[in-house]
Amino acid sequence: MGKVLFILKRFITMLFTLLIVSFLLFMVLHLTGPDPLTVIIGQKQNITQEARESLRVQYHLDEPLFVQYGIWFKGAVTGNFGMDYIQKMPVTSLIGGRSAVTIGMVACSLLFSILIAIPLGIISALKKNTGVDYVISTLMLILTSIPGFLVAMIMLVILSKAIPGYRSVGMYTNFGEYMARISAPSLCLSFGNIALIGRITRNAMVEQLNSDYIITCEAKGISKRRLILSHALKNSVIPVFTVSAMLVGTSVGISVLVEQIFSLPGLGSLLTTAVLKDNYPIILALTLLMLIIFQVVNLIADIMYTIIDPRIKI
Amino acid sequence: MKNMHDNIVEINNLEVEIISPDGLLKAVRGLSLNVRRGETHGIVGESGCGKSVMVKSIMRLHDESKVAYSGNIFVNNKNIMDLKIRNMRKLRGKEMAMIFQNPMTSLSPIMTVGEQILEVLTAKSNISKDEAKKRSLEILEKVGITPGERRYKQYPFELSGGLLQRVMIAMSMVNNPELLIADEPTTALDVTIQAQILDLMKSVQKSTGVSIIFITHDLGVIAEMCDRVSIMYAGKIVESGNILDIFDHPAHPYTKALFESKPKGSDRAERMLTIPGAPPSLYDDIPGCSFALRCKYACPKCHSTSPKKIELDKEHWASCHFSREFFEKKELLHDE
Repeated sequence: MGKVLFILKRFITMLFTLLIVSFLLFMVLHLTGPDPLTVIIGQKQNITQEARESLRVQYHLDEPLFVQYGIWFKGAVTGNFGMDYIQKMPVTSLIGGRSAVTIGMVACSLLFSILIAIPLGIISALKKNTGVDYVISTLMLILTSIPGFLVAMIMLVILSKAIPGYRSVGMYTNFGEYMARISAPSLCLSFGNIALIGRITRNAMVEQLNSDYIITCEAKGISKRRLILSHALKNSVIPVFTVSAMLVGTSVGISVLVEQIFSLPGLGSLLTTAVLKDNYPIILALTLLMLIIFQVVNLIADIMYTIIDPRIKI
Repeated sequence: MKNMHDNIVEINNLEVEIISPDGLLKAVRGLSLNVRRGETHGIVGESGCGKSVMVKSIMRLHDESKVAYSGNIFVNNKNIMDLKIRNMRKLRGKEMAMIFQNPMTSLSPIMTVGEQILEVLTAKSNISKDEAKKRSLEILEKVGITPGERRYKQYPFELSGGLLQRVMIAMSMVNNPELLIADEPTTALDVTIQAQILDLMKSVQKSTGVSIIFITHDLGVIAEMCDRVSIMYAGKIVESGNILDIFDHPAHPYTKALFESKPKGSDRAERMLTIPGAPPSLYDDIPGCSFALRCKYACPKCHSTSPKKIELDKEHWASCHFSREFFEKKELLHDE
């Protein structure tokens, strides 16, 4: 019961946040940017006054700004984010076609970073202050220090030299091609995260391995494997979870650059072009989408805490 | 010593050196100890005298990349110093078990107490999970945690310190070990709970015949619990014997001083006696007798030669140059 109530409460807060953010963003875009009509008309600036007027009406630009927001909001609630200014296509279909790449990439990169970082963190903690620990720590430091786009560029060069048929442009037609296209950028994206998650894992593990109950476990004579995995690691995952959930947000941000380098048709490139060309409906919809992803991931993390640690009550 | 089979634990000349950030800590310095099968053997000593280090060595619980042992520890006639750590793990929880000072932090906070007991069973024998659960519930009820079924599913944070120490006892005894090491098991508990835990340990011992090594710095607890007692000072046992012998005829000045610093009655006017000075640093070498600097009977010989073990009676020995005189309650010649 408590859990349902908690989730409900969080959903309400989330909707409220979305409302405020969308309103502010809508106003800022329309009040500071160029007139939407010029964006809509684009290259053909010499169209007739009538055509101009009909476009103005079609995009509700003749209404006062508050009413425009109201119209947008009404549509957004029903899942209709309007038409974009440049391709004159529904925003939802533009985003829908491209979100598979970005969401898949962010999910894969998170999976990669967790799969690589947690074992590294555990080894580091077990071999604390030995050569192994120093090597892992140094590697992690190097990984965080190199900017993601640089890794992406180096990786692209290496991949295209090493694998003759490696395609770094164009679309995918089936799942295999999809995975082949997104795996390299996902790995790039995960590099920075590996260091962070690995570091957190190491420190949490070191702390747990020094706690009293670990001595009890040793005295109980359970296997080292069980001691590490079901006691020390299980007690260490909460900070790891927190950081991983926050990294989803930053990964979405960095994916913009990585998508550009790997010329992937993802949300990142959609967003950058939209920002450059003042395509307001897309900017609005994408910002809100990222906000939703970020909040949902955090909500999932919070629910996971209560499953892992019985002391946490929600 | 004469009959090895009588001893569950036999420690010969144990030295434990620990690499610490402050230097090499010689925590145990040539310690010898026999614990007889079925007895409760008390270990008394000030904080930092190496009691915990010594008992942890019996289970080889130290981080062995930072610890050097020398000497022998026989448990059940096996020299555990020769065992690979993998084989040592097999003995722990089965032949020997340990309970600790702070039950609140000695259990994993995110696993139910029942599962933590069950884990010892499944790790040590090939019993089914259902059977293991049944036995875990049984032992919970046996140590007075009722209703077992409900308590089994509770987490450590839902239980009080006293109950948690009961859980620890249940967990350590679930495989019927022959040796139970209790490292100050009642120090963190309040007095009424202390008494309950002591009673529980006594009844557990009565029903299972387990040998207990009981560490404490509470002489009252020793008198209540133990058959024999060893007094530890600066990494060594300085006196060992039957509880009555030690209480009636202390033969080491440190033992005498310990008894003198026990609070007596309710007379507040009389100041409690203390032992002047502090124990020697275990980072340094100690020439002569380690207690000499604080001993009111010390003579030049004490500062230069370390005393040998003097057998005073059957099973009663002390290492002081003047043990015999103390034992026979003679006045020391150089005593002022």
